[in-house]
Amino acid sequence: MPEEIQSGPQTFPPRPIREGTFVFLSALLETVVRTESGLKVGTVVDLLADASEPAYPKITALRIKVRSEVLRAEWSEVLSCEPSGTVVRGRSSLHALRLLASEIPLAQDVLDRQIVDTDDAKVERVNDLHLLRARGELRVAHVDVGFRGLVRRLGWERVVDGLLKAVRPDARYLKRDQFVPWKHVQPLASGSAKVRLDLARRALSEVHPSDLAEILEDLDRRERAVLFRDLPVESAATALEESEPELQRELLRLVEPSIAADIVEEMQPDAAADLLSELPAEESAEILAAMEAPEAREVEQLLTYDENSAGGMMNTEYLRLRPAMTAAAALLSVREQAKEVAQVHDCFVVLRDHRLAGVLSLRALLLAEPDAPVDNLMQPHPAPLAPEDPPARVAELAAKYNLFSLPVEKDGRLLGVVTVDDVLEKVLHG
Amino acid sequence: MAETPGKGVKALARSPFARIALVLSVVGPGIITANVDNDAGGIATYSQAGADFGYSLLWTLIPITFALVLVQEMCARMAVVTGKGLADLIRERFGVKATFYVMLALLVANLGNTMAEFAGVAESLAIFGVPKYLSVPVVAFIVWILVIKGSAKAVERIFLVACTFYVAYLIAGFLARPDWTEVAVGSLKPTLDFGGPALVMVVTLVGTTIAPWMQFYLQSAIVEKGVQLQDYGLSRIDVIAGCIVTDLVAYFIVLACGATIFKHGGHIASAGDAAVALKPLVGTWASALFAFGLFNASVFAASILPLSTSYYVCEAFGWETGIDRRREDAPQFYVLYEAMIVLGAGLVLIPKLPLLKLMLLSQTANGVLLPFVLIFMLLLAGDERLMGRYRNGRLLSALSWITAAILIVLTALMLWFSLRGG
Repeated sequence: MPEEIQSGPQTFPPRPIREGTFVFLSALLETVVRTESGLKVGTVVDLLADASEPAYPKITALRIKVRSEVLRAEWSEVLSCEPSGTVVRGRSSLHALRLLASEIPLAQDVLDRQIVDTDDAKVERVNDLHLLRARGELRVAHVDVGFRGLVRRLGWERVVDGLLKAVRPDARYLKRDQFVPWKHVQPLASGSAKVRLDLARRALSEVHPSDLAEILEDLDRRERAVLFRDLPVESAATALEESEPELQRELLRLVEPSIAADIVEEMQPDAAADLLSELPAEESAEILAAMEAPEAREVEQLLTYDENSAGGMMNTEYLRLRPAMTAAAALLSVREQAKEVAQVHDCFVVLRDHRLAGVLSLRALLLAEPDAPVDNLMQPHPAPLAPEDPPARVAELAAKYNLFSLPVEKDGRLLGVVTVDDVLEKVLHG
Repeated sequence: MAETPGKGVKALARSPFARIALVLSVVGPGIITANVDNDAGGIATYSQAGADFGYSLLWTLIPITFALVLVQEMCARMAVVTGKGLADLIRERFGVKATFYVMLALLVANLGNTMAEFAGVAESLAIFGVPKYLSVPVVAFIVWILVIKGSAKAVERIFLVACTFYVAYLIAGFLARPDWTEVAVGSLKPTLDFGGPALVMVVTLVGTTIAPWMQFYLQSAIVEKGVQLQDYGLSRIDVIAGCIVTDLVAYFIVLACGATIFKHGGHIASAGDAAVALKPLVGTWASALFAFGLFNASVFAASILPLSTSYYVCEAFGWETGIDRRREDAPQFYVLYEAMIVLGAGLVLIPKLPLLKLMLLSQTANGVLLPFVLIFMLLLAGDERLMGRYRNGRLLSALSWITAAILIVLTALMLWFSLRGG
């Protein structure tokens, strides 16, 4: 037994076997581990990477299964780690298992799991990891999310390649590996929270909020929780604004009320008010109580506009059109929306940032050429109301411009629409 | 992982209406799964069991129910705790190879099941004189268009309501005036001829009742409902109620067939023969009623099976999935889905194919696949890292492994006898 300990450094195999070449994680797993003197000690079960390095994290240690026990070997004790086998300095190189805060176990937490590709803003499943041999180190370069990766893991790469080459030598499959560079990879398995947090701050700030909302929607619930809890408050708020109400509720319930409050504070007040009004009273009160006073006030105000103000009378369901639509498309859209909307006299042309671009009566829409763009058909709107405006002011404007419905705006954003019949009631009885 | 103490829907249920809304938001997957479970293959199997063995296999439904509850409760628990489908969990825990072979087997078994559903369509409409060369393509097209247009969910409810058809078996069972002592003996006294066709029938009964694909379907359905841990109690009731309904229906089909077809020394060679079981209830209308029930069960399952199968397979391999995706974005999903329908319906059109036999055979394939799925499920449900304190306890673990062992032995025996016999 003792002879494997005394071996000196002079007998090392040349450490960088093929400098600058790649090896797949799957090729290294389950390979036999020997000591320098050739004694078999176990098999490789995992590689740990130092994830605090953003670009090409290096492998810091191996997990080696020795009979029924899993042990750890530092990379400095690993003389070579190749598909043909792994050599460690000696039996004494193996120590009890531990995981540093900055380390990710690749096989356990990345391989076969969902990740977010922050460059393409997509959820992918990892089929393999692509490791780079460089200066005696092994570094994580890419994750493989492609079909080739699946075939390789099944051990059919040669067969499938051979068959394809015979049938269709120019098949796209043969040339195209689908690799995502590690710096665009956001792992989601429940590894160390600190690592994920650093990664999330770095990569996810680049992702567009509406993409982020879609990613959250696509993920399994557990990964969704991990990702959402890791998001910086601002990103969480914008992603929440872009999400469907059902998902919004689920996401807000994932975090403590105090954090939920921070996130809601960051949201656009009307979006926040919409969200809170969807929540059960008890929950929204809890969140409001935890919010900073000014923001909470603003949202509360939106939630409880005076009945006798434009804000209290307005309806947030109205016919919405986009400037780029054709009249034909607009009509189809009106037909769709009409189920939800009480008043279909006027359509409101709204820009992506919720600014009102113009108004279009249903009559004008019916009379227009089918391919005329809404942009050209709409009229500029004369007088937007503020949510605080009293009913008298609403009536005055409606009479002055002969309008059936008036938009309510705040800070340049269309909040809702007041219709004349609502105003009449207020003016007559109020 | 630590769940943030959130509010379950329970906390919100104040008024009776809120309470009902709450129950509806959790309940459903179990009951739907139960009724899809009694598909064309199911009806064929139960009818055959009653027709060929009378009441003598009724007792098997008691341990089968027990096993079904055990298995489906595990699925429901995994769904609620992990928020992931069974295929995902298998992939993440056991890697690509295991997943690939399970998915391949599931794909083949489910293709068989889909064929069985279309065979059910052919058989049921044949009673009204519609040739299968007309009925099968038309129904396949309707199923396809319903799903592609996204209206399958709405139609699901109609199917579900139509499932009250099974009450007909309950009544028919009573009206046939069975000898209740015989029924009681058959229900409570375990007897099994291990060498003979009875064993194949038992494995087939197990396969159709505890169908592997149901576990995948149930788990995904609960995940999709977004049931939270706090509401798991309701979900469990839903699932257990579903299991009991499934097996009550099975029980009365076997009973009704046993009291009529078996007693008169008949045998089932076509759907028309199986309809005889309903004669005590509706007389000459029996064929029509049976045809309606079989048709409903077949189309119900045919609209769910191909869709859900392609869903799990794509999820497991990380391909985009769902009918809300465009065809270019989710090519694998659409190819799998449409291939299942085209092949499932197309193969049934082969002339002179013994359709009833086919329905039965698909259930046997289910029985063979089941042990493998069960082993994966048990390993997952007992995994502390995955399930935390919701993992299988010691007693449950022991019970489940014993159940799995019995099922594996049964399957092995059946394979051995059928190989030796064939």
